[in-house]
Amino acid sequence: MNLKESKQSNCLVAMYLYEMPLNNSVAECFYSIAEQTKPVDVVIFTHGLTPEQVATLRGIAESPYYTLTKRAENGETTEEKIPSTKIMNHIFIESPESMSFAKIFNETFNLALEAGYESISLAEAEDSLSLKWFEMADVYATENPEIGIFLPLIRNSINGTFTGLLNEAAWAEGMSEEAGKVDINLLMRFNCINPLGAIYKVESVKEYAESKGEKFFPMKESMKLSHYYEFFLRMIYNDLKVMTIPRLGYELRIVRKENYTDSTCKLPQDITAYPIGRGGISPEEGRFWFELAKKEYFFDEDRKKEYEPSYQ
Amino acid sequence: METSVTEAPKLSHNEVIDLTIKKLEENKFNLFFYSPAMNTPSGGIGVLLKTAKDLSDAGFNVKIVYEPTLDQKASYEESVKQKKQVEVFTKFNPTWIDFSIDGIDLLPLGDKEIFFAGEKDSKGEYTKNKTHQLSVNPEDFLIIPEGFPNIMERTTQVSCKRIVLAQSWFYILLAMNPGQKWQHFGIQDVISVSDAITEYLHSAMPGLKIKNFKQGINRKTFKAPKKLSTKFPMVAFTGSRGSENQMKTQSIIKNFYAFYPHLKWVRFVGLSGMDKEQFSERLASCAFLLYTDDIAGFGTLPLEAMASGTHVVGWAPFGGKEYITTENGFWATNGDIFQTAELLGVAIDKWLAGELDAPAVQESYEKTLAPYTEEGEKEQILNIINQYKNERINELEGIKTK
Repeated sequence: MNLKESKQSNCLVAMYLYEMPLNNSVAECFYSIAEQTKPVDVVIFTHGLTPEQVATLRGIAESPYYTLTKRAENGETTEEKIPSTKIMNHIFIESPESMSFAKIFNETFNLALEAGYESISLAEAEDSLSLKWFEMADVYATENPEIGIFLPLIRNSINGTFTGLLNEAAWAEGMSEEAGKVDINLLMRFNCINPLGAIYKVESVKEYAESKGEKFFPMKESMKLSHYYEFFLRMIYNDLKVMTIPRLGYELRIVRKENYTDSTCKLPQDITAYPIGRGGISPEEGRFWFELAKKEYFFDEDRKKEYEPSYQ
Repeated sequence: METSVTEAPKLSHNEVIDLTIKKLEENKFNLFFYSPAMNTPSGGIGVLLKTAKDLSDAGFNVKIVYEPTLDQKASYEESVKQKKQVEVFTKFNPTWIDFSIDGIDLLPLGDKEIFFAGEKDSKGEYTKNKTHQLSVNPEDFLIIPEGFPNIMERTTQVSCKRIVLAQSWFYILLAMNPGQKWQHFGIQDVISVSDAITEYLHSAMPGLKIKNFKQGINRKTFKAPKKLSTKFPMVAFTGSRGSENQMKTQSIIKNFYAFYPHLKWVRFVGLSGMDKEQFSERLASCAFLLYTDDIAGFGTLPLEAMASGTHVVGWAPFGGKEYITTENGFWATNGDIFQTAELLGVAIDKWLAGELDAPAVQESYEKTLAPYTEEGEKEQILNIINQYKNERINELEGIKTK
């Protein structure tokens, strides 16, 4: 599918919707994209939803809103839907198969490349973006043309409780060589980047992405858990500049779910406690993937390494 | 400090007065500024020297007089070398200021030739330097900083008009005896750099004739960075009022980190030990200034921060009351550590959310800065000196014999 005809901006934001119900949360996410002071286009991948569910989501995408909860003096709460004043330029694409986070990234990347978008960004359904995020990122991109990826400060909450900020490490004293810029030493110390909400310049990333024919695969789809960690290691190792914009751009909401799937980059802290059948991973396998990322970033191509339980 | 009065030609009383008036009218008088001989950056001395420069540039005969301070180390070394007691002094050489005072005489006061540290001839011997007695005429003016009542006392008998340049309310009474006033030294005239000092003086020493002088902020030195991305999530701080002030400043920082663990990555950077250019660049690169000067006489630093697009969080000192508003900073009660730490977190959270990027914020800073221009500063000091000149002429006219 070519998005050239529907293209109205230079940035393509992608989301993947594969489970319901998520009416209110996705409506708020859409609202935060629709109300951006610098408009963006949105591609919404779906998979495994019924036609009715897709129709519901299409309706929300047409008229995004957020729900304002009001508490009266007598303690009663009422909800008011605040509709978006702007239209979200979007397109739905039904995926024939379940999509991992790496696949969502790669599909979006190729759509953007084909349609001539300058940058891409990824969001998840429960989350929302700061209304000026893309405008702020554009200012930073104009002022810093040498930077390939701009990360937002992410406000992180777990089950509704604010737990801290993400992507901030590059600004901390003594963490990176240049304040605000993520370097390889910092990233090797720990995985301090979250990929959501970031602005990825298509042409910059393309240079270090594996290509097969006309398709590019910036993120290695064979890697579990650490695909985006390896991606950032590889990009930075290849001298692509990554910077955190010191502004809140994204609100990441982790909600406890029964199952973990690799469609999200929100790794549950207790993923090793999840049963294998519900997406759980053993501690050994978890370590394997992150150690593998630290070795594989030297290679642009996906070498499709696999975890073998005997690995020590 | 030795003083002397230049003897006038043998003329009649009225002729002497007429001659003095003529000199005043023709600007043929001296403006002496007494300055402490500090070779390390000092806001107060900077203002004094800038005022002297503005008047010199306007064509007045400006002279800066100072009492050289003894250089203990150089004196000891030279005494050992010469096997007798030798005094070596430090020359007043304020290289830290961001403007040139070339062309203004810096006169060391004294009654004998002295040695200055570092000034040696090719043989390695100290060269002799002349010192000067303060020689003033009735048409001259002597400007004395507020913290030097000893100079006011020692110049009680001089024939010129003496004016106090008051830049701090805090030091005014500190060096004086209880109940003592400047009027006791024969001083009536004061130039005050802030409304707060003026208000304070009216209470502490009623009857003084005070002229208000608004300092200017150098907008070429203090300017907001052109790029938004060169403004970092950093907090500049000073703590320039001694060790207790430094401890309180550190306490604010520690409390801030304790109150706001999600902001533990925000850096604090000191503004000390740098020249004016480095200082202004550092200030402009920081998103915030933590201002903890509780005894400021006026407080130019918050204004310099506003000019640099740097948001001020800190104490609202008495001296800054004429410009501090709820719209130009996050002001805490003077000396309140907890409130300041709390406000700092509120301010940084607002900045991270982009709320302080609104043009209205910088507009409110510009509104605050509007009265404090360098041009206005020059114009005001010229007006003030001309007023003093005219007042002096009227005074002299009044003592003519009929």
